[in-house]
Amino acid sequence: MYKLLISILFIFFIISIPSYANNNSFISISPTITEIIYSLNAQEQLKGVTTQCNFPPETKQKPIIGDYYYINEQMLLDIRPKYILADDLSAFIGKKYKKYNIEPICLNFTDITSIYDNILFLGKLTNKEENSINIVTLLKNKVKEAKNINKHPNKKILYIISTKPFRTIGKNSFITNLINESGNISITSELNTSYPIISMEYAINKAPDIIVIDYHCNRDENISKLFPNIKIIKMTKQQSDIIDRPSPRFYKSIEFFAQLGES
Amino acid sequence: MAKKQILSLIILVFLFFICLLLCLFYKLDIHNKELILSYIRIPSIIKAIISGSCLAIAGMFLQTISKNPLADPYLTGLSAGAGFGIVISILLFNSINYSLFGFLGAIITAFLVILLSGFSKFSITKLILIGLSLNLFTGAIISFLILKNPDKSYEMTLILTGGFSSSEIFDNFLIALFILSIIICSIFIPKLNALRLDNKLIFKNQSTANKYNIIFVILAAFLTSISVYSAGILGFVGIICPLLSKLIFGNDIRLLFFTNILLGSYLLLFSNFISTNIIYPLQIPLGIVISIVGVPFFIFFLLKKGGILNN
Repeated sequence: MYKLLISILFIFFIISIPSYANNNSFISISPTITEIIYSLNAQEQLKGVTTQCNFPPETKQKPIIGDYYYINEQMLLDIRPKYILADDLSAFIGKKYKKYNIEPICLNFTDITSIYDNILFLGKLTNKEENSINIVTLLKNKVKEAKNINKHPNKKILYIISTKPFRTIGKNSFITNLINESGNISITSELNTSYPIISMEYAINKAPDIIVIDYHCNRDENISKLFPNIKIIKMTKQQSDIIDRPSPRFYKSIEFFAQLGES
Repeated sequence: MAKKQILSLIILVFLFFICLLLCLFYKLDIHNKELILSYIRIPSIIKAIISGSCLAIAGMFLQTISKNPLADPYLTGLSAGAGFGIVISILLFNSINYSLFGFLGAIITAFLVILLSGFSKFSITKLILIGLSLNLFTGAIISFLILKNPDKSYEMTLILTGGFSSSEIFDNFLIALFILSIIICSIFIPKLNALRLDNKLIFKNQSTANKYNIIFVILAAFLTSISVYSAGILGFVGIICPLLSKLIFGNDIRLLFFTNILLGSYLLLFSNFISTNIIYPLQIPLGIVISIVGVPFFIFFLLKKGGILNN
């Protein structure tokens, strides 16, 4: 009886230990990376996402393991992924779990070329290389088409992230690259940083033609007073999600900026 | 007034006006001057004067009645109350009127702390401890709300650090509140001169002293709330200005009342000028500049004249 009990306990112990064999699973703490994984059709290997991962809608079926700042450690240990995939914003979280032999992979998205590189890298990681090559080729064609849409190029664009304090995009922002690719000009592209807080006077003196306000920006009636007779576009949540994320949908952002010149 | 004090006052007034002119006209673009002056520079200057004065006077009130040079205008849990109001406004009302929500949050918190301190058995120590507890409690709720709303966390963090660009409303209501508070403070100032001495020697019984203590705590809370309305939560000004005034101009509260208004306004005007111009067009958050500008200046005076604080 005693031996039987020991045997049962031993079997139970063996079963409860998470399996590491054939483990190429990962979790994504970046909405951008989640989108890329789905576009590669590699979602079977994706074992967890964050509350911010909302595209494609099927991501809702995946277990939510946390958000930008916090991962439920217990859930993470239950899943035991091989990798944590993070972007530059969430990289600091990923690195925390190296102690559990979960390798953090941080992908930087600085411009359009880096998106292509990261799609190809994730294709290799998930054994979907062919898919990744096809997606990159398709995206390159889409970008060419999007550029041709712009019938009134060289419009000076001011992109506002928040008005209090006044925050915009700088040279190192991915969005600046999108605006420039669309054939227009970001008036803050000479600022040598990613998302600077700037003086409002600087923006006024630069005399933009069009102002684009991010969906998450606080409401501010003063903008129309400070920039009289200037076209102001407040983005929807869907538009903001596309522009804010360097995902395979980024060509839609170029289309959006290219069409701004049309009255 | 001694000659030295008069000279110090003249220098302070001179510096104040130089700073005022710099804030108004430094590198002003000719083509957009009306727009920039009326919507950016003049409102910022008025907000700097209002918030600087309010914080400095509130700090002076609390340091005098508590007889503690470390007393801060946010002592009664006001910063967390204001922060909570601002966060609620950002999350529930799409950031509309968050200065007003900050103001209301601060006022409600101050009222709650004073109420819990008990009018009949009022003591400054009790007030500080209850303020501290409420600060920690509300601070924890704010942290939780920031963590749970990562989409707006950056915006919330930036707004909570304060600054003139972070405050939303500039209107006559703010100016009216400021003038009203200054008039009320002027009426009670002579009593504060008495409170800085040993209460047992001045007042017949402790309840009279407590009555005036409560009045000055309420006034300080009101002034701090006006400052929150004007520029968000700005730390440090309320501690440094009353102490600097005392080091330079002595102990007479009537004189200190005016020097605190000047010094508080000057510190914020100067910090605002630095924050908007030193790495133009980039801006440094005002709270950071206040500390960088104010701390070395303060330590210099403390080392030179620190003995006065013992009196």
